[in-house]
Amino acid sequence: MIPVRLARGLAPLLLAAVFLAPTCASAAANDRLASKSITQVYTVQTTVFALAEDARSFSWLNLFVSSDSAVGVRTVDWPWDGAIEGGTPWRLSMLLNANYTSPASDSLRVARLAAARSTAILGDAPLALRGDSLVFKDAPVSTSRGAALTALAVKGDTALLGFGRLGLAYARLNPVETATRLVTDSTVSFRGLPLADSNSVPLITCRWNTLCRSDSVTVPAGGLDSVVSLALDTTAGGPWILIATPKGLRRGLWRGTSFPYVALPGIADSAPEPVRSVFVSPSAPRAWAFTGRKVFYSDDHGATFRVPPDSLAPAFPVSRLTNYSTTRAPQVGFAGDTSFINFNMDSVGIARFGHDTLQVNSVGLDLDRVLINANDSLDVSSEEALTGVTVARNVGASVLVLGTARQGIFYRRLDLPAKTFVNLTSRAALKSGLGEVITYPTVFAGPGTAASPEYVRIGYRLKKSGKVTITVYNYAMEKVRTVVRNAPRQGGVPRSESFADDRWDGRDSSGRLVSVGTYYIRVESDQGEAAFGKVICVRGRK
Amino acid sequence: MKSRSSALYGVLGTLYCVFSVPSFAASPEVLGGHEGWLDRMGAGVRELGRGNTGTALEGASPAAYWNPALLPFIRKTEGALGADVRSQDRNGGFVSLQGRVASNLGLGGGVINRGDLNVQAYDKDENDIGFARPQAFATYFGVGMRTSRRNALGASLLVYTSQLDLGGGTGKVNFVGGINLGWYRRYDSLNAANLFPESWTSTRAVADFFSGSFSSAVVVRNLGLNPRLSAEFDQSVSDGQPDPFGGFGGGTSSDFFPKTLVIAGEWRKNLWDRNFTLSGEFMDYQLKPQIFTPNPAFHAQAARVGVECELAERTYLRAGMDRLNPTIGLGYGYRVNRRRVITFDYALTMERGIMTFNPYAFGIKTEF
Repeated sequence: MIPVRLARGLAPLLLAAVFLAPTCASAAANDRLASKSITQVYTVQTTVFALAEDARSFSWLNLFVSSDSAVGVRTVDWPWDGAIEGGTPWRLSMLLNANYTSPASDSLRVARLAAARSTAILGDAPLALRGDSLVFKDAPVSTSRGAALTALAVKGDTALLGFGRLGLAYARLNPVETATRLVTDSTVSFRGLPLADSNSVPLITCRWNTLCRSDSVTVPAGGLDSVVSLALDTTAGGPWILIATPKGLRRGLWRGTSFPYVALPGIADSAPEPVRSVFVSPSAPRAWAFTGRKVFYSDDHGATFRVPPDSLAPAFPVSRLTNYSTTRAPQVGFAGDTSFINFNMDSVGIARFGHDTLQVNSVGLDLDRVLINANDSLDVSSEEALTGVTVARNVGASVLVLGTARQGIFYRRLDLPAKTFVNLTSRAALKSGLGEVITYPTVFAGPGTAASPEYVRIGYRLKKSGKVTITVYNYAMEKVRTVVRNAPRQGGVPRSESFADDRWDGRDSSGRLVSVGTYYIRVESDQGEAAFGKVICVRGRK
Repeated sequence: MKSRSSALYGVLGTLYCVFSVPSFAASPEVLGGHEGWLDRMGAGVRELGRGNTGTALEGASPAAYWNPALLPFIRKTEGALGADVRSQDRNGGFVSLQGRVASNLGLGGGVINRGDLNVQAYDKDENDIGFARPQAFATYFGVGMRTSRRNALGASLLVYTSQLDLGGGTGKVNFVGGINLGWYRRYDSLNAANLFPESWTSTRAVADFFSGSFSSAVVVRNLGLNPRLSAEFDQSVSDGQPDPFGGFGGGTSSDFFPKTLVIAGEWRKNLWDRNFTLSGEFMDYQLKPQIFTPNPAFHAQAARVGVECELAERTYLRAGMDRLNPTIGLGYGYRVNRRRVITFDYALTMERGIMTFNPYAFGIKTEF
């Protein structure tokens, strides 16, 4: 009798213990970022800009290496509304290489400049030059305006613009990031590149982003070359400008007037091949140039070019590296003396070029043979799916970033051999409206060293912009530390927009390491949103 | 005269504990993880309902944790079981078995559990690495011995285990060797008015109100078996697999449980035909693995108060304040037969730091 009554008494307790616990342990269902089609990636210092084409819209993926070598990612919808002064509604269809040595906040402006490629610069003047991207006097209105920005390179606060057959122009960037006007110059002078002469010629001077008042364009005898791609070599004196054109590769000094052709081995002057893309290492004298069928490299800042010998890659001779994609030119990312090349070929994807080796992942060779190690998890169904390659650098850290047509972005740390590729689409998509807070790494073994401190990153997504306070509590819900207090944060951003601030170093308010155990991080906004994340500290105080 | 002075010390000690609460409760508290639940959150649902005061409570469960000197005052063998779930998926529970094995000797054991049922874990690159369910178990084996009818000493041994349930071996703690030492003394039917001269009429009147039964206790928790007398433990940080947690390659990391000094008192009196109990505890945590450091930077203090009223026969209403976190408790003793009562306990706690109520704490206790 007693056991029966005892059992009856215990039953509610047991039921509570069994059923209440799972109920309270709300499952954190994680959506996944939709796979993106990446059309371009490029680097501005530690920031990688990736252009993702999603149906008819575009968005940024901003991936960067912070000072403590962590890789942070935030996705930013493209805020550009096309309202450039005097401009036409634009359509961003490409991002161009930029190498800009200014603070990271300026990189967005550079990207905007590159995005404004369809902006009207020329207008109703009776300009006579016919050809790609010039304005025609008697042509129908629908085709009579606009000069396409085809190439871009940046040095300091000055952008070097390539405008097809209009040649080159310099423009000073507006230091105010939020300004509508992207450049401070009121006029832009275009210098054309004659086919028959290495000296550039003045063509026309127009007001930036408005109608051009010139009556005509003086086209030199023999016609004009067209700027397809630009690269700026700032590692040597000059700096040197390398220009890919339909008639070959040209080279000249920054703000110089002479741009002679550079001899490319195997290509006769009488039968020039169009150079589709050119790249220059930001830290080494190496440069790469690609025609439709051949690849060339330089070890002297682009003064001379060579063809990589077949002996560098016995398994896949360089001479077989032909027939690149007709829609995408090859791309190169640099990490020290190593070049990572995306040939954009059906059967050949990323190649790694070292001092005297060229590893190519031909059919039958996995990417791990070429890239990093056997644990690399980069898994693209077709090499053709690779659409971009670039390398982001920071002190002691570098990140290889690959864009793919169907699976978004892959990235991996190059300075940590044990690291493998991470697919951005595998990262958790945070619920909107501060539905959850994630911490990474959740199992925290910090605090690292003074030279390389470790942090727990705090990711959240606000529904509305507001002031955020982030507080760390211990298991007994006693306040341990206030990490951020009333800091303004933007709403709708899928990750914290302040990667450098929204983090915890595993210390209490007195600066002492906390003991091992579970900690709770509360993010609350003055707009009434609040949520918790959790951290398990495994590094003891002794 | 001797008994009068000792009683005075007991009363003063109790009053000190009770009335010093507000000032100490405002002290900064930065204790963290393991001790955060072990020495901050206590054990036992009955004790939780009355502000987590159990150090000077006869019949506290598990007494091996609260104060092993309480063990010889337990008249019958008793078992207790409890569980609670708090906000943010924190879970906890306890089980205890304790009783007197001789007229002056008591033995007891108890297991206290705390953990989190749901920690979504990501690595440094924000890759999902699964759910962690960190769970810790503190097992106490205690013995208490009466040195007189009202006085007892006790000691207990802590065996502690913890794991993350995340794979890879990270986060495991296996620790044996924490020692709790306790002292307990009771003062039955103490007439506090007799402590003052007969000419102090008003003072004696107040003291008469507070006359009743008292008890006091002192416990030192988390002593270690090393020259520093510090309860130190190792936690595995990585099992040697490729660096899933951000580049740390070491195998273990060391930490310690803070030495905790608890001074507790309890006052019992029958008022308005109801039994009242008022308890108070003061705690000092030493946050440095030394025998003792006088540096206040390495000490944190906390205090608790609790009251229990027997509203009707075997029906209890409890309230308390644990470091300014209010608690409310209920208890009901169901008489199975003349010799056996099963007591059901419930507690509601509020955590002031995050302004959250925790309504799920249930316990059961019976005698054998």
